[in-house]
Amino acid sequence: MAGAVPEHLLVQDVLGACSSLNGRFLHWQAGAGDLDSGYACSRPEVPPQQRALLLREAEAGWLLRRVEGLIAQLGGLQSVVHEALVAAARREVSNYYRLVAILEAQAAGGGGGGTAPGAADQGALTLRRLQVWLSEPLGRLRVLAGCLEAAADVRGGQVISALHALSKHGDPAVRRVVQPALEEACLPYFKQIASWVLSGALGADAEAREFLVAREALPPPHCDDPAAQWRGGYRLHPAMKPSFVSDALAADILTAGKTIAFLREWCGDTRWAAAIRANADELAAAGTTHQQLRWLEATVGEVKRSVSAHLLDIMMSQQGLPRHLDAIKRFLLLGQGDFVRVLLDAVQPELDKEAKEISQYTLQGHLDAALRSSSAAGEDPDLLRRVDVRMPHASKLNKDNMDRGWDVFSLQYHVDGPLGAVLSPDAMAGYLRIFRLLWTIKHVEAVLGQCWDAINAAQRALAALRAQERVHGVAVDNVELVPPVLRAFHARRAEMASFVTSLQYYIVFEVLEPNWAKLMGALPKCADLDAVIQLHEGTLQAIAAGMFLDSLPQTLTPLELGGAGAANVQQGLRHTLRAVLDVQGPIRRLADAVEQAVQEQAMYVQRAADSERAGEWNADVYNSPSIPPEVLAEVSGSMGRVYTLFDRSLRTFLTLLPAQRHLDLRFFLSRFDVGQAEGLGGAE
Amino acid sequence: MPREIVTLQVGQCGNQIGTEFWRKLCSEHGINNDGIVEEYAAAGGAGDRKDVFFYQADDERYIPRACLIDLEPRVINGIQNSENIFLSDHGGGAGNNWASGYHQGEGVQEDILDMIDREVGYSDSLEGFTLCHSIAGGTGSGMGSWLLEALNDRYPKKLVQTYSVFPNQSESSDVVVQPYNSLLTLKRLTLNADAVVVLDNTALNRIATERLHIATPSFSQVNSLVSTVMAASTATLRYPGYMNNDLVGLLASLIPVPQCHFLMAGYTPLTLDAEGDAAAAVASIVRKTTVLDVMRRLLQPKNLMVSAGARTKEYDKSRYISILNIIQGDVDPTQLHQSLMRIRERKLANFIDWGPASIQVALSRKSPYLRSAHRVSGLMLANHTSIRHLFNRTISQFDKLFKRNAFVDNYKEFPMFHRQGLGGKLEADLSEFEDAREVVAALSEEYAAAESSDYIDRADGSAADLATQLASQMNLGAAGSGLGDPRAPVRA
Repeated sequence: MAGAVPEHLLVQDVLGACSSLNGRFLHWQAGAGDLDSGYACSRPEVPPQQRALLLREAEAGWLLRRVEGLIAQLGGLQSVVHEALVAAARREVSNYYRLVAILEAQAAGGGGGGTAPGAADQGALTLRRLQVWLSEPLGRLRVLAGCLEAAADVRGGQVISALHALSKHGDPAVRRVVQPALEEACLPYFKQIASWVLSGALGADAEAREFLVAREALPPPHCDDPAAQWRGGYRLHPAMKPSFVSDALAADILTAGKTIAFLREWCGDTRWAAAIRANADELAAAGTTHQQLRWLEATVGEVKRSVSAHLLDIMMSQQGLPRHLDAIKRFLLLGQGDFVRVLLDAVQPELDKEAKEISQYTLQGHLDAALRSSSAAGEDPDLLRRVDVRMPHASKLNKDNMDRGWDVFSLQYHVDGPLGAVLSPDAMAGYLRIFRLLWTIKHVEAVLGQCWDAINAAQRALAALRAQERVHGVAVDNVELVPPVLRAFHARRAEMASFVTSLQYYIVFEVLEPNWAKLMGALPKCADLDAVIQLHEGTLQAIAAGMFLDSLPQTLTPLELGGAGAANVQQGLRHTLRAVLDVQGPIRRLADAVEQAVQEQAMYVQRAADSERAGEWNADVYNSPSIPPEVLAEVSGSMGRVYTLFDRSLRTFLTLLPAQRHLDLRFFLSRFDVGQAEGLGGAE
Repeated sequence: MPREIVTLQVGQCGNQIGTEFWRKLCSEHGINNDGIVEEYAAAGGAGDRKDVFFYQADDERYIPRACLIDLEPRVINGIQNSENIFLSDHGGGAGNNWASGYHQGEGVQEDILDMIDREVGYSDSLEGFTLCHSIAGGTGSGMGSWLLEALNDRYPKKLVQTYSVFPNQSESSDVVVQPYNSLLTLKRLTLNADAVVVLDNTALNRIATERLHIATPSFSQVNSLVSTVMAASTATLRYPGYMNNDLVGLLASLIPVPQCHFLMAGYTPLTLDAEGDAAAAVASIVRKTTVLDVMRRLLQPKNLMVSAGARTKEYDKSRYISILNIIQGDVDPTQLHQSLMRIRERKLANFIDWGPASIQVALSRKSPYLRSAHRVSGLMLANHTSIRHLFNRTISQFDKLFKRNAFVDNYKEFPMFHRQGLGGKLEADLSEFEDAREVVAALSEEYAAAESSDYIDRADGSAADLATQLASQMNLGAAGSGLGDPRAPVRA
């Protein structure tokens, strides 16, 4: 064995291979891939034992090539996290080179002056010694290659997650390599976090979707909509979230930056910077690493709280969200009773027309007049100008369906600027639905009031008829048939009115007011805009559900309720209200008949007086005044039909109600005898 | 374009309670004696509507929509804040004679109707008139009666609501012909008014002595009670909210059948505006009232401003046709339906069973300018069948006098009570008395009928057959009797 191949030559060869050079004995054999490639020893004179040692130690060269290959590959990715990792890897590689150089120097020193092999043996580098020397750097290279490999196919935050996973290794030697690489890789990522959290700005890597927050491009109708912007303009990119960042921290990071971006883009506000200056300095000063997550969490939380509070302050004070909500409650939810009263009176003639014949300008005029005359007129004109008539586009009107104006009229409330994030188009669509039902009920109530007037007028006319009869002795035929009919009409009207009143009580006292009180009570306690939006939408949903309205826009925060057959309940309610509207027909006709009898009687008296004066006696010439029984029969029959329809629809409605288990309808149902009689106790 | 209401104050009593009413309204809306809005109220924000009861003159002063009418100057001369004042030339009053008041009204109808027309002209969409008067004296009853007829004639489409003070029947009155005057006025209230809020002096005095511990209540103290009721009953018109923002809505819910339009009023907590020790003591007791307390108290007869004087047996049969509670103050709406539920469960109110009936509630704000010791106060307007006993008592007192033809000579002087007999000689014609008695008796019967469950379906008189036939077309038949019957109409 001795003398076969001098040891120092082998050592030189190994060291050469460690610097990825070919040597006398070792030469690079390129294969199809890294795994197939490697150093090979083709010289037969190297004995097998040494050859094994030689090849084992040459693995460092293989690793170096691999690392450098990966470094070249990752360096070309143009990603800041990769760049940082590459930098860390380069440092590691240069450390390795330094070690190899030292070893080479040692090998050269030991081998060059090697006169006496025995003496030289004392300090010379042997393959065995080299194996000891190389074992540590070999391990490091191996780990480094592992790190780079893990980072090769992933991007951004995933790289950090991967490194972090490796850094959890049980071997401290491995940790020693991974840790600095991880820290290095984290630097740009945390810098991005800081920049996003502190200024709402996303860097290049974020645009490349490597950051945990990503900007979404919104399609055209939404890009001008603050609600859509707030909701979808920036999103969490969970894949890019480093594994050590908790979901809560990620959410805080998103909210903080999003809030600042929103402040900048929609509120034109710059004062937020002052609010977070202290945190900004802190964050900028500290080269944050994942070791300081607690601290980061606290700081990001603080920033989030500061900017959220700032944004909420702008929304509440500067933009006046509570004022607008109040105006919406008064005008869209009809809380401003005198305004509603005046508007109803004014628009009635117009809305009684067919939908396609209605002039929006006339309605707008009536609306403006109603606003001016209400006790709200003295208020901020900015609020009043936002209330507006909304009519469906002419093309949307169903030409065959002969919609009445009542079916299509509604009010809307315009908001602009950042308020749109809360009072979003979807939320406004929700208000629209609520308005339409409330408006229908108000219309029905007004009609019932007019019917009351009409029956009262008929009653008074009847009294006048009888008084005239006493004075002039001119009887009106069939007048004695009218009182029972009138009484029955009164009873029917009162029954319907009572239903409408009960419905209104339920809606106002059990749905609108409590939910609204909850909204206004919780509003100042909201921590951020998301909480405000959620609260507002929740209120809207609760009101709509309480009013048996279904199918609010899907994007609104869904409530986990909505009993079976909500659509049928709504249908039943609408039919019932429509039936009530029909009651005016027979009542008007009855009142007209009585009115006509009064006129006939007066005419008859007049003619009788005339002919008496003329000395004639021809009372037979004129028909004596009468109320035709067929008219009475007709109006009674008509009332009967209307009432039957009302009764049936109401019954349907009430029967379906108990299925709405999410609602507390006990009190509402208790107002109807049927509820108790048929054991419909309402919600249990 | 609010639904304006013009107030007509007739006679001594009418003008006194009217004055108190305006004083109350002015202080609630922060309007001073000159019609100028006080500084503290100028900023607005109270959410109130002044224009239902006031109009603004060119100089921004608020002027009550009111006409003050009296035949003697004593009371009116103390009131300076209205421009529409009618005083008769002679200033002699009506001498507690209904006929004199009525006749004088006819005599000056041009002047008075002109004045009312002018006042109506100041409004955009007049909803109706409110008449304040007493039914016992001469001017308020006689001229008030004439005015009711005239209003019906001239403004047939407008509502007429009255606040009518009924005489104290428990003690002998200084006006001996009070039953005559009352009965004659009641006829017009029955035929020509849409709603009558009955303010019974008997009960008002009882409240003053028993509830407010005033040994001998003065006019102004009693009037203060009345004005409180008037102000509270108009609260929802002046402080608009979700519901009951017009008079017709209020009245329609109270008066399901037009004949039965006499309303009782109750109020709690009862105090006087005066800062007396007694009032303060009462205030400290009732300070912590809840909505349930208020509603329960309103149902107690002792808080009612009508003493129907019914015997217990009769009272048990009597029924509420309707109840409207106007609750003012700091009320949590969720508290409200719980309270209503409680009252319903305990069956504290006995309702008619021929129609849907339940306690209705209107919530209203309170004036921010008045400091009140009470968190919550409530007014009840109720249509209760026991009011017929009040009419019966009037009839029986009338009968006592009329049987003896007592004091009818005073009435015979006036055209309504005499006619040209043969040879141009004037003869007494007392058919008006009989007619009025008939009308009031019919009214009482109507209320009595309303106590039974077949009120709507009952057939009356000769037309029974056809009426039944007509009724059956409306599914009136016998349905509605069996609760378990699925075909029974739903009582809404």
